[in-house]
Formats: sequence, C-alpha cells, structure tokens
Amino acid sequence: MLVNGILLGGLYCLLGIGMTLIFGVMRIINACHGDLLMIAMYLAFFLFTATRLDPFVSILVATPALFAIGCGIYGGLIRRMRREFEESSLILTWGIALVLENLFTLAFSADYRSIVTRYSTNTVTLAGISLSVPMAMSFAVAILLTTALYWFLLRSNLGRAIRAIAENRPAAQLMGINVERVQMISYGIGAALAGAAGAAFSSVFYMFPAIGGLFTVKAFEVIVLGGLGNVVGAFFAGILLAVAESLGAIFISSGLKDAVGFLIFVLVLIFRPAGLFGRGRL
Amino acid sequence: MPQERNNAAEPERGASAQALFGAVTRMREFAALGGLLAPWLVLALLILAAATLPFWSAAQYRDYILDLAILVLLSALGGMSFNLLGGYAGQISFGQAAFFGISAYAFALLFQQLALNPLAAMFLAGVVSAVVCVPVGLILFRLRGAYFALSMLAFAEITRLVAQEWTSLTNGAAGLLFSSAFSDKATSYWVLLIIVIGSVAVTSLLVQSKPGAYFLAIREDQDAAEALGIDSTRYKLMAFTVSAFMMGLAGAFYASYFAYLEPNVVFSSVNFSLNVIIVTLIGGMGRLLGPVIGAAILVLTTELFVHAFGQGNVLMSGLLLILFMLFMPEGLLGKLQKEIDRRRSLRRPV
Repeated sequence: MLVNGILLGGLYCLLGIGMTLIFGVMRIINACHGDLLMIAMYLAFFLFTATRLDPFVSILVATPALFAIGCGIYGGLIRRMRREFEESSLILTWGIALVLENLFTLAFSADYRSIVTRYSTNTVTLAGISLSVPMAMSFAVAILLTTALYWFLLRSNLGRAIRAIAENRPAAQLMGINVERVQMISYGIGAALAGAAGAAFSSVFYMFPAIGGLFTVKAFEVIVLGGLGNVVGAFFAGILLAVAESLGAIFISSGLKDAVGFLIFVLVLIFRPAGLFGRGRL
Repeated sequence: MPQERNNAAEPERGASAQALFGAVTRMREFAALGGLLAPWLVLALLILAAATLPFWSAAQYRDYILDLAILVLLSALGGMSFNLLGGYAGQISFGQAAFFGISAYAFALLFQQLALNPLAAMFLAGVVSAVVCVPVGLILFRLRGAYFALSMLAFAEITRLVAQEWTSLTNGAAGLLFSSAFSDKATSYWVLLIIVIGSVAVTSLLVQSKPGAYFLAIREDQDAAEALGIDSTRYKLMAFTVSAFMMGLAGAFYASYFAYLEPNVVFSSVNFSLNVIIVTLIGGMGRLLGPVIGAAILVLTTELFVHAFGQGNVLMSGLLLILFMLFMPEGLLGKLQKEIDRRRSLRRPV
C-alpha cells in the first residue's frame, strides 16, 4: 500500500512539475492542468483501441501532441488575456478546463473507460514487496522524465532562458530573450509533462472527462507543498503527497482522505508559504 | 409644440415666439429633471415589472417563466455575494459554494426539525453562514490573491466532504428530502425577489459608506491601505460576513424551493462557486447591478443553448467565461461606463 503510494507519487510529480514550471515562468496557476492529462489519457485510449498501440509507446505520441496543444492554448488564449486583476489567469484557465471537460463529455460521454493490456494485472516482487507492473513502469517513466527535464533546465540554452525569465523577467528581456516565445514553450513543456503522465498512467486509472478536475486539485496541492515555482520541491512534494494520502486512507478513512489533502494544503499555505522545502532554485 | 404654434394668432408673432421660447426652456428644465430621475424611474419600472411578473406572464408558460426568473434571481443573489467580496473588496473567493451548502442544510434542519417559520429559518440559516465565515476569514485572510482564492476552494471541498461523511446530520450522499416551504411558485418568487432587492439596497448602502471606501482601498492596494491605518483584516471580514450571509440566503432559498439536498449538488464548486464568478464577470466586477445583468444573460443563453443542443449547459458557462476574460474582462457595465466616459471626454473641451 505504502509502496503503491510512492509509485502514484510519480504521477503527482509529473503533474506538479509541469504546473510549477508554468507558474514559475508566467505566474499563472494553470487550472486546466488536469484536463491536459485527461486529453492525453483519451489519446492513449483511442490509440490503443484503434491500433493496439501500447500505452507506454503512446507516450511518444501524447507528449508532442500535448506540447502542441499547450502552445496552442497559450498562444491562442492565455497570451491574449488582459490582466484586469491578479486572478485573471486562474479564472481563464478554469474556464478552459470547463470547456475541455464538457467537450469530452459531449463527444465521448461520461462513461468510465480503461485500457486493459496483457500485463495490466501482473505484479513483480521486489525485495519481498509486490508491485503492480503498469504502476512501476509509469513510475520509472516519471523519474526518467523528471531527470531529463532537470538536466534540460540546468544545461541547455532554452532551459537557461526559462530559468532566467522565472528569476527576473525584465532583465531576461533586456538580455535578448524572446520572452513570449520562451513562455509559450514553457507552457508547452508543462502540458507535455501532463501528456506523458496521462499516457503513462492511462493503463492504471479509469478515465472519464471529469477526472481532469481531480488531478488539477492534486497538482495544486503538490506545487503548494513543494513551494510555488520550485521544480525540485514539486518532485519531492509529489511523492510526499502520495504517501500522505495512502497513509490517510489507511489510518483515517478513504472518504476523508481528500479532505486531509486539502487541510494540509491550507495549513502549508498559511504556515510555510514558501513550501515545505523553503526557497530552492527553479 | 405643434399644438402651441396652431393656437398662436398670426399678428402677435413676437408674443408667440416668446411663449414658444418659454415652453422650450420649461421643456429643457423638465428634461434635465427627467435625466436626473430617469435611472430611478427605470429602476422603479423594472421592479414593478418584476414584481408583477406572475400576473402578466402567459398562463400556459407561467411556471416555466417563473422557474427561469427564480434561476436568474438566485444566480444574481450569489453573484452579488461574490461581487461584494471579490468585486468591491478585491478578495476573489473560489469557495462561495461552502456557504451555499452550509445554509441550505441549516435551513433544512431549522425548517424541518425545529418546524420554524420558513422566513425565520431562512434568515437564521444566513446567520449560520455569516458566523461560520468569521473563523474562516480570520485564518484565510492571511493569504492574498490567488492563494486566498484557492484556499477557499479547498475550504469548500472540505465542507462538501464533511457533509458527505456526516450522515447523521445530512443523510450523506443519499440526500435529504423534505417538504417545500412555500406552496406556490409565485410566493417563492416574491420572497426571492424581495431578498434580491434587499441585497442590492444593502450592497449599495454599504459600498457608499465609509467601510465601502475602505473596501476599494484594500482592493486597489492592501499595503497602501494598511499604511493609511485601515485594519484590512477587519474590513475584509466585514465584506466577507455580509457576502456569506447573502450566499447563505441563496442556499436557504434553494433548499426551500427544491426541497432536496445532496452534498455533491449544493456544495458543487462548478454549480455555485464558479457560477457566481461568471455571473459577476459578465455584468462587471465591482458594479452594483453587474451580477443581476450577468445572471439574466447567463441563464437565458444557457437555456437557449440547452434548447438547441439538448445538453452542455456547463460548456456554455465555460465558453462565456473564456470570451469575457479575453475580450471584456471589465464586464458589460464596465465597458458601458468606459464608453460613456470616453464620449464625455470627447464632447467636453479640455
């Protein structure tokens, strides 16, 4: 149970890192993050039913697809918004989330769907603990992507540009960074991470259009726990949240485990507004 | 005018011209007075029209029209609750559904278990929300902007989950069914209409008073307001209490009207927390009648959309939200005000 909690943490990590990246660079709380993940899940589902493409292979399709969708959402909608007040972007992205969720409900109905692969119910035993195979593979993908992103942000020129904007936007602009373009790419990367997570975990969860909202909330909790805009913090917070939830489900009640998550969220916001891990680098 | 010219005799031209001039002056004065009184006149006529709606609406559609009107008024009331806190005091809350739900259940218990008069139960249910919001505000007003908004969302979700689990009080997810409070649809409508008019009046008085000025100061710049000696938490709390009370009245009315409560419906963030934001945004944040206009537009467009496509009312809300955020974030009344200001500044020589 606990180990499965940690494995689920991989999903929370990918979601949280994407969202925290978007927040760090653009100061936008992306309320449609979970819905991007939902799109990727459906994409993986239809690829699987149409061509029997393994959900883990469809990561290769879903990630660039969601990158494109993310760039489209940023360029087409978010960039055009006037900031009448601070919460504008939050309200706008919430609207996007509503539209996506309801479009999917109209198109594919609110039915629950799932991908059943050959190895869906397989387990492996590792050091005396049995792990579900798709869960473990998803976790491995999550770790891989997180590491890749970390190196990308740290070493590549684009990564440096992203960090520069997060640190000081006017200065980055003065240094000749095309801020609008880099912001669009950052939003795309955030969406792509959600896409990879969606495809990877599509064989683990049931999917239905409203699932996006649930994951958005989890992503909120992760980025607040990890410190807003803190990528490394989001990674550890994702795992921490998953563990806390599975502990909550064991020791309190499964009905109230989400309430525990919310309570932690509010408490951290009030007492540790910079997140559990203080101020780290992006 | 033509009347006067006909009456004037041909030879006395000068006298008739004078009379004409006098008449025109008097008419001008009357028009100026009319301009001053016109908003009040329009308001009075609107209220009269709204109050007599059950009499003049076509008999075979009467129930349908009243249902729609009640929906408009209910959304408007929720919108006004959000507008006072978010539009005037600048504290955007994503969790107004919490007060809606709490009061809805409070009404059900007061009305059914204690057999209170429905109006008294409604008032007390509103008070319950107003009381609940005080500790919540004291804690959450330490946060600002988007953080406050999100933690209110978390608060609403916590209340929803608690309502779902606390089955001895709320009957949990199975829902609570009781007898409706007012036998007649028209009576319900009038009760709600009076609540809405009262809320408009209270908001109007409040925002024109001294605390109202403090609300605006806090909205524009909280640090500056505090530097001027405004106790921001106190005044935010004041706006929050009135706002929670209004939302509570909306929730209690909902309970009295539909007579069936379920945690996932009355605490629904999409149904209520978001709905009140959309309504306010359409009309204009921080505009007195913004939520009323927004509610009318939202309910009617949603109704048309559902008629045309059979479903997807939330889709319509989402689309409206995106369109207004992108193209008219100041709302219809805000846009109107800007346009009036622009015309005025063009006409007046600088």
